[in-house]
Amino acid sequence: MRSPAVCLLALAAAACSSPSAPPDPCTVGVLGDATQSIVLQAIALDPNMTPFTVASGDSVTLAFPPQGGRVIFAGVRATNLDGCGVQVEGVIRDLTTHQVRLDSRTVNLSPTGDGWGESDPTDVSTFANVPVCPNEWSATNLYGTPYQLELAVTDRGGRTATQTLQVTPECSEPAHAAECLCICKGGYVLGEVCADTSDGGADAGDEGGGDGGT
Amino acid sequence: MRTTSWVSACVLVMTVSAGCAPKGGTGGSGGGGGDPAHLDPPPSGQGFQFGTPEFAVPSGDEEQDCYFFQVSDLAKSGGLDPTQPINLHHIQVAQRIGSHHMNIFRVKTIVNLGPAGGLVQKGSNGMGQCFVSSNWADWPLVANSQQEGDVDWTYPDGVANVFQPDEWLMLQTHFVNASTQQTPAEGEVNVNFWTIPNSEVTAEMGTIFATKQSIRICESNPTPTFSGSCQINSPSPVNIIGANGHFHSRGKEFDMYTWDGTSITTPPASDRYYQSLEWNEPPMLHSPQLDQTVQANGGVFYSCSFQWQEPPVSIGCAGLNAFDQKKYMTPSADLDCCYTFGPQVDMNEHCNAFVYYYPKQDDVNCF
Repeated sequence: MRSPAVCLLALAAAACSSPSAPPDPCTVGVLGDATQSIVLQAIALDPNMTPFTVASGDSVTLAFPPQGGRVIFAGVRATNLDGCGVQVEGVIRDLTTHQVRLDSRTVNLSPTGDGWGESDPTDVSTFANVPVCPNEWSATNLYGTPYQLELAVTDRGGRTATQTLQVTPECSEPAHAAECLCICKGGYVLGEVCADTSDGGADAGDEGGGDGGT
Repeated sequence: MRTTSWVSACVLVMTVSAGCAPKGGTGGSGGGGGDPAHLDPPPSGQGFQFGTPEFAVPSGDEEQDCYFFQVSDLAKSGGLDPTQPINLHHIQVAQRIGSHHMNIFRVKTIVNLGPAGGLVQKGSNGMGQCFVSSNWADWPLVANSQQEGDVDWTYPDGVANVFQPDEWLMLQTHFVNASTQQTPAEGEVNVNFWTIPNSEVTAEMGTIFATKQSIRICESNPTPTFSGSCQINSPSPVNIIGANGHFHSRGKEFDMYTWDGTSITTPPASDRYYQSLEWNEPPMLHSPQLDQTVQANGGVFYSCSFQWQEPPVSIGCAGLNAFDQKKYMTPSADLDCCYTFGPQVDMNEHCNAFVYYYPKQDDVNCF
């Protein structure tokens, strides 16, 4: 502790108190007990964009996202971590070739009031948008085939937790099924004319499509 | 598909203003006459030139226009056989100041944007089909440039990007005359394609266009990083010979790495072949300086890091939130002064990677 005299001198030099750090713009804070290991549950969005806890052996939806293609919206539910600035990574792995497609992003978890926080089901940017299709990476169909889903969270302190599950992606959005079955099949070539893309195509071009250029 | 030729369409639509009609070449390259958009076209039989006419970009506006060209028409304009493939080996791009980007894509699945809708389709301030990127979601990349618009790139010996005569190309320009970027005079873009004969082609060039569109840079989550991967489905190693990344003014670091296709962590720094720390002057790396080998079935790992900033006063958090609500239907409780994906540089962000490689397996788009 500094003496008053020292402090006065230092105040005169405008250097007594250390500059206050700007307030943390994230108010989520610690979820659960940060002295304990992080506990992680994988969640995903179903065809109705409703979250569910994923268990090994479950089917997961190949969803038509704003950016086009098909993704698995893979999120997390976690406790015992700082809920601000959490790096969430979602990975889909081909069980035969071990090839992966991945998405990683920094999110603030939404507290659920019980010491846990989760990806916000009203905001798909808090879910890993695991980019599965177009299928330019796997020789097998990306639907109806088991793949490995890997989730990881890393908090701002560098503490991490992972979960690995076997899942079966499915083209389970009825309004977009035909295009999904085409662009997610094994052997798809970018720009290939799909037999019937009227479902996905129409949607892709309207206001639901991601706009932007580059 | 529309049968009107590009040349006649130009005459009808744009009255053959500067940069519209193909120019019979006398040879040479490079700008001249003080006009940064000037390029001498290739000599007849060696290639062709195409581009845009001059167009206005009013103060406060962003202009994004899509121009369609059929390969056979372009070949004919350059004195080449219009029934034969075009082997692009050397590309030149020249643009006026104010260009935010110029992209050329091969036209594939038509959604709400294509040549049948008009050979020139203009958009302003986010409005119009030329702004809707999902319209060209499966259109392979051909070439791109950014703010520093000049490109003059000869591919390695024997490497060519091959186009069939019946293919259509889309040239997309984006000029900005707003807070973060200005266009002091009219916009204009010209492009030269220099070709080589079939007998000289030893390898085709492929491209990768990777984009993160589900991104939010928000006041309460001010330093997000978004990462992704893109695989080249090749049983043999390939060589990356061109790369550049694109984000807007909240972008702080854009990295690209060679990647083994199976790892899920950021590759080591020794595998990084591209880094951009300046959003408005991103490096445009290409051969011979860039020639990076990617292992069989490997690909590209890329990462964009951002720093949230106060929006321009003219937009404010109210403007960002209004866009977020209208475009993404974000609930009121989730509004957080976020920059979201989109084309408008003052209120939107991007995380796009452009990569060129050979020998081609497929053109690859990763979302």
